[in-house]
Amino acid sequence: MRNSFITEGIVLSRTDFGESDRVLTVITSDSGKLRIIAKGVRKPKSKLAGGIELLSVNSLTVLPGRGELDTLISSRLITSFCNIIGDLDRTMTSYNLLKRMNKATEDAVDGEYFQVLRGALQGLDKTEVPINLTELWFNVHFLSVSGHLPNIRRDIDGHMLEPSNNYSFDFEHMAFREERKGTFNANHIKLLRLAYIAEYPQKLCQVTDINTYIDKVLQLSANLVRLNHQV
Amino acid sequence: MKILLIEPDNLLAEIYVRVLKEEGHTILRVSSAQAAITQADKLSPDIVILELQLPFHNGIEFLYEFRSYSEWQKIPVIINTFADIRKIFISSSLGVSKLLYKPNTSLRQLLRAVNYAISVTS
Amino acid sequence: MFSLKEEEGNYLVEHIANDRLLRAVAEQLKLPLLQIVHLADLMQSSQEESDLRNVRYVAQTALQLVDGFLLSADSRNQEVFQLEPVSIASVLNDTAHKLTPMARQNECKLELSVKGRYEPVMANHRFLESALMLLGYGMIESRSADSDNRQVLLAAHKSNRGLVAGVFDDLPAIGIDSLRRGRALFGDTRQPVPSAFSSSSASIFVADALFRAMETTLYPARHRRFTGLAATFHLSTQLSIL
Repeated sequence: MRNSFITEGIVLSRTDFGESDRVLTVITSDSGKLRIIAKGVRKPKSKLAGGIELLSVNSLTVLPGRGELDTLISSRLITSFCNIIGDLDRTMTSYNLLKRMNKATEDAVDGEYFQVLRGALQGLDKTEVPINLTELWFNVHFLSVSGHLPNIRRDIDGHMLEPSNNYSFDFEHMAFREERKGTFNANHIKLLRLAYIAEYPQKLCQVTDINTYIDKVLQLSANLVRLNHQV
Repeated sequence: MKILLIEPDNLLAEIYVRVLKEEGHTILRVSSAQAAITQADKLSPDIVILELQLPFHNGIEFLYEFRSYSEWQKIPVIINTFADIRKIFISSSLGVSKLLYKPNTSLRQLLRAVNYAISVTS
Repeated sequence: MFSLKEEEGNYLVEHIANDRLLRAVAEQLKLPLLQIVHLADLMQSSQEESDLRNVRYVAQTALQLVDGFLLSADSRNQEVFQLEPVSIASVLNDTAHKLTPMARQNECKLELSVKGRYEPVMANHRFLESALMLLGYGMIESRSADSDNRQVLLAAHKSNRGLVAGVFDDLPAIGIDSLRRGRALFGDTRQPVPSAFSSSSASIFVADALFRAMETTLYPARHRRFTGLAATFHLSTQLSIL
């Protein structure tokens, strides 16, 4: 006898299924990544608003399926990120994050992935937080939960990273290498560390002079995500 | 060709409908993303012309929803927008045929983009 | 340690606010200027009267926006702006006449709803007319509707706080949170009130600035079954005696 369960989830993607149904790929707080059939919500009834929206956190009541697909019994909106929808750049960034999360995760992922995605969407929803800060925060935390965060304490030879040194990044060993003409300095590494320890993207707004270093660090984090997750 | 025009401004829409009709196309005009999904289902458009700056749900949301239906994945979409396209990165997975910045796009250039989309489809 | 004097601080705050408003105005002017360009293109091949009328109407609405912004920027200049007794009903009536061509262009039914006699209020005739014109412009043209036969109302009614005057329609209400968010975002974002307007809503925020100069505030309001944006003017017993 299959029992339904309730979980919190963020929809990563929607595809059509048969005449009138949709399949939702959802990342949840405690049930991994699910593929759920939502019955009778195609096209004219497919609302961009209300029901199971993208860019929102929903409470989902799900009936486990016999195969790969579960069935959605009901959903309730918990948080809608309306400031994202009102801004084209934030919308585009959000969809990119959803896509990255979807492509890089298997079914049996723990709740940390959900927390990272929710944190990023909350950051994008705050109009006072620049988009690139939230992107950096997402990349660093995504790398962390997937076990691909580079060493931000010691260099490739195991020495502590020094404030007076310059470094380049060694992608093969996933660590910084001391190099006189290296393009990363103490401030870049400090920003990377701050992004890692920041509980929310908003916390990075408190960093002074961040604009000087953010582009390079963001580029590095994006390259690391691409390299380790093929997204 | 059947064209779905998603344009929130009435006068601009009237102008676009007029020039496109003169080229022999059938136009259905809507002004919101939700209406566009509903009407696309009825019209089965050959081409979509889309303004990104829409009320409620923006053009990016529409595009993701539109492309999530298998029968709409290959329909050419021309973005014709007031949003500064130099500052927006549109994912290639959304299959945008042409990205036009309205202040720099004449009616003739719009028609050229439509004709190009038709030729690629054919 | 350098610190700003109060008047310097106030000047900066106002300067920044004007700068944001100017950016919102510039963003919104893209639309009427593009409309004029396209209409001019069409008029090269066809000689349609309606195209010429549209050019005129579009240019006028754009000028209205620019003029409203300049008025709001001048509100501290006592030669330009002073509070005086104004008949709300009379201003609403004039505004309705001026908005009629735009309403027709946008397939909207425009109505005036001013029942009874109202005492004059302390306002500024030019500011009030500009504010109501811009509100009307925003509500008629910048709000999209996929329905025909939209209704727009220029209306006034008495409330326990005074005389409420504004522009209302039969589309979903603009919430106070949306308006507040819009006030924080206009000029810095393309669509500060995305739930209601596809544009930079500059006309709404210039109207907002004009109402503030008259010591009142724009807010979401109801008039009969319609919702919209309005401001409240206090009724003065002294003026009613006059």
